[in-house]
Amino acid sequence: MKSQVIDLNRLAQRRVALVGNPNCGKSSLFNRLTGSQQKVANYAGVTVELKRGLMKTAQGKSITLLDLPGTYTLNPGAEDEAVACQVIRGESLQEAAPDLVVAVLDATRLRRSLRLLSSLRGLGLPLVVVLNRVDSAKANGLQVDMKRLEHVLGLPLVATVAVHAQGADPLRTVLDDPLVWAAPTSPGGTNDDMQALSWMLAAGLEQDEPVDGWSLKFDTVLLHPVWGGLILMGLLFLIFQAVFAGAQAPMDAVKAGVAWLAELLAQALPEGLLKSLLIDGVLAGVGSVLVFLPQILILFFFILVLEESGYLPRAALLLDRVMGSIGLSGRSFIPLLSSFACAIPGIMATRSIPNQRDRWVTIMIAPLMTCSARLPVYALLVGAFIPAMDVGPGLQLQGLVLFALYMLGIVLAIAVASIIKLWRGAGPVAQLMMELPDYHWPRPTDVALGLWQRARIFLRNVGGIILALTVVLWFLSSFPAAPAGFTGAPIEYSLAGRMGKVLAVVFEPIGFNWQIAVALIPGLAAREVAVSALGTVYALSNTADAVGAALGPIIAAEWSLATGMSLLVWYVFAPQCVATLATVRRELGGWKAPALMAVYLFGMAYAASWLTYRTVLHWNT
Amino acid sequence: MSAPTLNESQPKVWRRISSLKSEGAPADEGLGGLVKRLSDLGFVPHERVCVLRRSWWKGGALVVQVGNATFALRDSEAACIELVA
Repeated sequence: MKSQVIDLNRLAQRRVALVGNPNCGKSSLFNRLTGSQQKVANYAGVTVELKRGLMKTAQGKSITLLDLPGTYTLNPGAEDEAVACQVIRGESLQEAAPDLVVAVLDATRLRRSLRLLSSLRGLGLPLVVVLNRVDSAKANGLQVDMKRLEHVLGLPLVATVAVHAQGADPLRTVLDDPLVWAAPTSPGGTNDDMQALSWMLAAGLEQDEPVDGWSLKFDTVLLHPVWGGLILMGLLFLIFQAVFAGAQAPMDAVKAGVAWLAELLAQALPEGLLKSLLIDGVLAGVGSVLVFLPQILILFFFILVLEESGYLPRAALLLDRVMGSIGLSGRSFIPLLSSFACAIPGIMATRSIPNQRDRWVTIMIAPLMTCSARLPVYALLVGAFIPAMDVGPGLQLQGLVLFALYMLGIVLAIAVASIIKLWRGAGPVAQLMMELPDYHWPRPTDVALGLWQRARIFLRNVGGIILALTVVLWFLSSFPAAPAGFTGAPIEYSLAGRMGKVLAVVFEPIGFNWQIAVALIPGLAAREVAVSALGTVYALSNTADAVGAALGPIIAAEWSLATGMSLLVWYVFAPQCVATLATVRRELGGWKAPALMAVYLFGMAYAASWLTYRTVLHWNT
Repeated sequence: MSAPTLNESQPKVWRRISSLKSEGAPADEGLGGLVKRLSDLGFVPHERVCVLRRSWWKGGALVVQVGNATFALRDSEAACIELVA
């Protein structure tokens, strides 16, 4: 009781870092300890980012818990491992060093877990050792004498089963002991592997005996060059089907909700600026982006399930050969898959690529993967310009065009990677050395927490940057107000209208009108804002009482087919995403890479749009 | 009289690692780095190791079990792992 009173205030600020090998069950343990009380610094397609959460000890004290990317060693081989090492060593600029390290050992892979523990001992931080997966080890026939191992290690030791509800409680209890926070650790030995072996010997533990688990049986099919490849293709096809078909109902619901709200506001508010701001600005803008939340969540659901189940590295292995032919390795697959959701987590996931050249190329082509932010634009344009007709049994022309746009991005990425290979050489064969973890069922709580984080980040963007830009654009599009005798739409007199008309000179050769030029400006902040911006621009352009009218029919009537196609092709490159460029700058350091990326994307986008515009004009007249 | 290496080992046969060698390894970011990384991953002397799957293509990736963990390795990476004869 006494220690609790003394410690209460200091403990609240104490920081504990979870450290362990990749796939040791550390993230499940983190989720178990913190529940929904956690934050990811940004999207994380694969856990390359640091997670921070709040946990309570058995006595109810709060502790800040850091979940570090898994690492095999304190001499990191890749960027994600480097993040972990910097934080533990107190060398990170973003995170202060932890007050205590919880070393998570995988009971089924003791030797290498103990090797990491041995090097952690040399850091001089208080250490608590957690033996995770004791249940699996027991199933494999390995009995661990906890008392004896604790004595041998000379460190506080608890056993956990992260997948059980009360499985993490022993750790909550041991963190209440003031002794574990004070105990300085002995200096590490010279050879960590010798140390690990001598620990195992002293604790009476056999070397991990290889078990013929059912993961291996699955792999005989899933890693088969033919069956495995077919299953992977089928899976990817299923994911894209689900993203487009499965999201229809919830998207319609969101649309209906926004329209209902607009109707309600239109009746409740008096005519005037406030009404215009709320309906033409906020609702027209934010609503058109919000619609895409279901699709983003469905895509992330699949990525999370594949990641949690242990399948993703296998997919990377299957594709290693294909990627090798364009000068990359299988390790580039996971970042590129994440880029279909958003290029930012994709680019961050390249940290797991140890080869610097491969990482650079992967980052360069990541924006060509069609991110979910482009879906709103595609959906709008395809819906407006491509007739909804069947071209075969079960084949819909609109769906086919959408699929073709995705494929075009992939084909262009392959082309760019091949050009880089020709231009700068393939470089040495990249390291593979990739662990294939045991398969296991994804825990629903882990997947739900992951989805909740994605939804929160998306909504924070919608409520933050997108809302702000929409309001700014509404102001720019509404002021200065047109004088009484002005014949055109009032927006043409406004600042945005005039800016658009200047920019339209640049974009005129590729068929963009001034409304598109206006919409591309806020589109710099996030690609999907272009749709909300078009929504606002056209809502304000409309002199008629077309509140809440769908954008699709308006542009279908006002734009030529050539303009529509040209904008569609522009968005295959979508070079104007500033967030992507900023991430590239942060990840690669310096302005050279993002400048190169912007130039090549803009150049290709302009050329391809020009070609499309001219071809369609020629063919359509 | 060179020791057998993992890339030449028969599939589904358990062997023991004798040592890691750096000569003959691909000139990737430092030979020492490759050997160091392999031992960090658990390819250490006396550990039991077995090739589970070999690629259909020459020089393709191998799936290897070491102790209780499974890894995908390149042929050139597996060539650095010497086995007890």
